[in-house]
Amino acid sequence: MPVIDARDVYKTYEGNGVPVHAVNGINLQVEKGEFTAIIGPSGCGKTTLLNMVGGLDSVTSGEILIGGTRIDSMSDRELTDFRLLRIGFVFQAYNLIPVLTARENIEFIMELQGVDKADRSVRSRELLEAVGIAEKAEVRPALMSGGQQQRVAVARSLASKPEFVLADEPTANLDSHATEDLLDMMLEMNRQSGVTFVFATHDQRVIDKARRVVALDDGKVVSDSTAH
Amino acid sequence: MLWHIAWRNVWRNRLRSLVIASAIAFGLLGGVFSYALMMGLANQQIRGTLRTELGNFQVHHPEYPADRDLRYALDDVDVLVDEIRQLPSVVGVSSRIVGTAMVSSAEGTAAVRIAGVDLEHVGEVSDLAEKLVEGEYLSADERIPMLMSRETAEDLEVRLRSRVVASVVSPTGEIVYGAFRVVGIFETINSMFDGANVFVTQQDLAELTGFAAGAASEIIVRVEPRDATLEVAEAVAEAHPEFLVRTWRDLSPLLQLTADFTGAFGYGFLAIILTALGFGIVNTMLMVVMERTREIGMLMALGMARVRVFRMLLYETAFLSMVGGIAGIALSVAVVGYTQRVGLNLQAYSDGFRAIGYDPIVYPESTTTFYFKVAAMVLVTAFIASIYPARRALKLLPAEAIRADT
Repeated sequence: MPVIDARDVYKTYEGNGVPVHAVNGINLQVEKGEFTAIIGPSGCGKTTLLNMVGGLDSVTSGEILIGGTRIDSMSDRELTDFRLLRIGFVFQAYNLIPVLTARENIEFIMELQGVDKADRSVRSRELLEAVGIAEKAEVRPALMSGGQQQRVAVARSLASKPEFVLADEPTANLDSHATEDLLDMMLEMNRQSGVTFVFATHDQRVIDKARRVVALDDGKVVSDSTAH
Repeated sequence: MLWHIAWRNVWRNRLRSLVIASAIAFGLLGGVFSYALMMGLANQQIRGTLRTELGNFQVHHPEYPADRDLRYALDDVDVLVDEIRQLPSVVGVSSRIVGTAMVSSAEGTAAVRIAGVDLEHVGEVSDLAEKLVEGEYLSADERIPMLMSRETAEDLEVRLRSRVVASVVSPTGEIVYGAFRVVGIFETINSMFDGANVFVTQQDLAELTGFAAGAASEIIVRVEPRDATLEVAEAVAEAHPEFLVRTWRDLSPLLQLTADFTGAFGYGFLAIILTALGFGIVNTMLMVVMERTREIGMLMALGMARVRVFRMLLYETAFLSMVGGIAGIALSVAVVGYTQRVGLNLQAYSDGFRAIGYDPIVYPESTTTFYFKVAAMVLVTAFIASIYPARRALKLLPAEAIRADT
């Protein structure tokens, strides 16, 4: 069973009375353990697709199943819980909570999930070690580099032990070196722990590392290739 | 951790938080001090009037209040005085003969109320002896002594030891004349009281008017604490339905209004200040929501329920308000405490104050209960002020909010 199963998904916005088809009949299945990049020019529907798959946006028509569960008909409250428990997010602008340290940022998600304090502490330490910044555990985001902040964001996305991680342009604000390091780290997690990553990206460096590349244009899948 | 985040968020923009907290603190100081000042003025007036003029309650013949005629007397007054004295909370009881009189000197005439006081017990119900500015209090050693106010003495152009003539309507309706000697001149905080009253001994007034032995026009009773007044007065009224028993609230509607209205007005004034501060808090929290749109969107995207976002903003507003509230209450305790100790000298306005019965040295008053109520009002204000900004935050769509510029 695919972890992500988007079936004939449409998303139409009303722009000045003219319907805009942001996503125009997409079928996409992502299996567990994939390292997939969704690419395409600006406005092709990458982020909209990612938002719908992540339960952040509704579909106009079609079905989205995550691990076999339909999410397109869930209520706002159900979707909130679903995102909290089953999906990890990494955003372009890191989006850490600035008043919390790296460790607290990671533990906060687990606290929302109801994980007890001792388990939170163990898991946050493990995650910070896994992303290679254990020494920054008690540092606030403002005192970290962009690469370090994005590593914390990746660790946070994995705190809930999600079925997959959606990363929207995660390298857009990083320099080459930080991008390389971050991608290598994510690939390592993918290989060793089987974490499923789905990227929406323009970044050629991400595309080069991805094992599957899905290209969109005008809200449609125009190619879907897998590296062997 | 929500508390933790909220507290730290308050200090993300220190200057802004300090500005709004200071506004709350000084607003509260203004409100609390105004309340304390008004309570101080009101309580001083009430205490002064009760201690000098009215006592806590008075007993009269039922017909007496209509025209204050000496015909309507209480007989065997000593028995009733002794009976009242036995009641709990009663700290002083004294009888008086009270009539209307014209007091004349060579230079003028004044219409006054003339009170013949019981020299043995008058000190229990009246502190007039402490208000003397010249001479001595009434005593049995003096012949036909009289106390009058400085104001009346100036009007009549009399001095200590001057003789004056009082014409009084006797219980039989005749006008009788008697000479008195001014032995003391008093001045209270109430110029209306001063201009309208003279005091002589009960014995002299009874002899002058032919008042029956053992009778008096009224009995004045002092009760401590003041709150016990009604209970004691009702006990006397129940035991003696033949008499008219009236508390200071009945005797002086103006004083009753002062007592009832001052507290309510103080709270109303404070509520207006807090409402104004509430708008300031709303404005600050709206700015917070606007500035943190992306962050709030991110929290929602990660799975933070809307109710938790609401609580986080509520806690932030509460913390911000509490910082200002605690500082404001601490400032108020210090300022009210200090002025309560040393008094606030408003002598520059003493004529105006005395005309309405206020002491120009004001001692602001407040209570611990009042401060707790103020703290509760601040928290309620914070809660109400947080609702609109929090609702704005809850309307954010995570997918749009995480792409916001802020």
